[in-house]
Amino acid sequence: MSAIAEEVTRREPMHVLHITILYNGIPKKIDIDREATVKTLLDRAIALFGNLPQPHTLALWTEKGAELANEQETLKAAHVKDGDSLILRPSAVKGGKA
Amino acid sequence: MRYRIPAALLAETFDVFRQCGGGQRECQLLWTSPWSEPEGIKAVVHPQHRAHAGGFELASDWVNRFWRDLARTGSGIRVQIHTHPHHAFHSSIDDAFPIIHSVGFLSLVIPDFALGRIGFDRAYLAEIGPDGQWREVTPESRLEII
Repeated sequence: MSAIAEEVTRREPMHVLHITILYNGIPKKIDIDREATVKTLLDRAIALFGNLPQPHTLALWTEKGAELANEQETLKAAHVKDGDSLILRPSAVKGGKA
Repeated sequence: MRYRIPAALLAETFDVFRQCGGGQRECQLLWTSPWSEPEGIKAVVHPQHRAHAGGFELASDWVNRFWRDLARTGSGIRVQIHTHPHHAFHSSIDDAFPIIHSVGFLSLVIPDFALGRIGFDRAYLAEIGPDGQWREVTPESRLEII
């Protein structure tokens, strides 16, 4: 094995995050590079659940209840860790006669 | 899909609306069922929310907790139901901020703060179509009381 190949083999698992996305009671898994943006993960999550309508109203939240609001941030910068579960849900749920 | 709703759950739905809204405030409830048998509604869920005469908003922390509960129990939300003070219709706010965005999701609006007869008289049922837009459907085409 070349030195470059060896380096790729050694480093690749550290860069890939195995994330579970929860939407309406269904968990689905995504593997994604930790340098990918929150927006990239959000787009993939929305596509995974059937290209949900009104995607601009959906966001990813940590299980502790923090919204990943900065979509341009990398997952690493957003402190998303390998094995994390993230919640895909609307930023707001409301209704009324107005 | 046509969902089966036990009459007792429909009665519970109206009862919660009347207690929570008191004939003065809107309220929202959710009908859920297991993913193993989605057509059979099994539970009425009363979210934590703020409400007034003209609208409501769910508590964000509650939504996060409920999302984890759904995954833990293998259940999903099939229908959101809320009250209006007078006529039932789907407002622009109702269109824009549902709890579920999937095609086929249903939103039922009950008139008169649910103070009328238990059932779907003058109720309005909307469904998310394949184009992502809400469209009116008849309650009897999607909901069967058992």
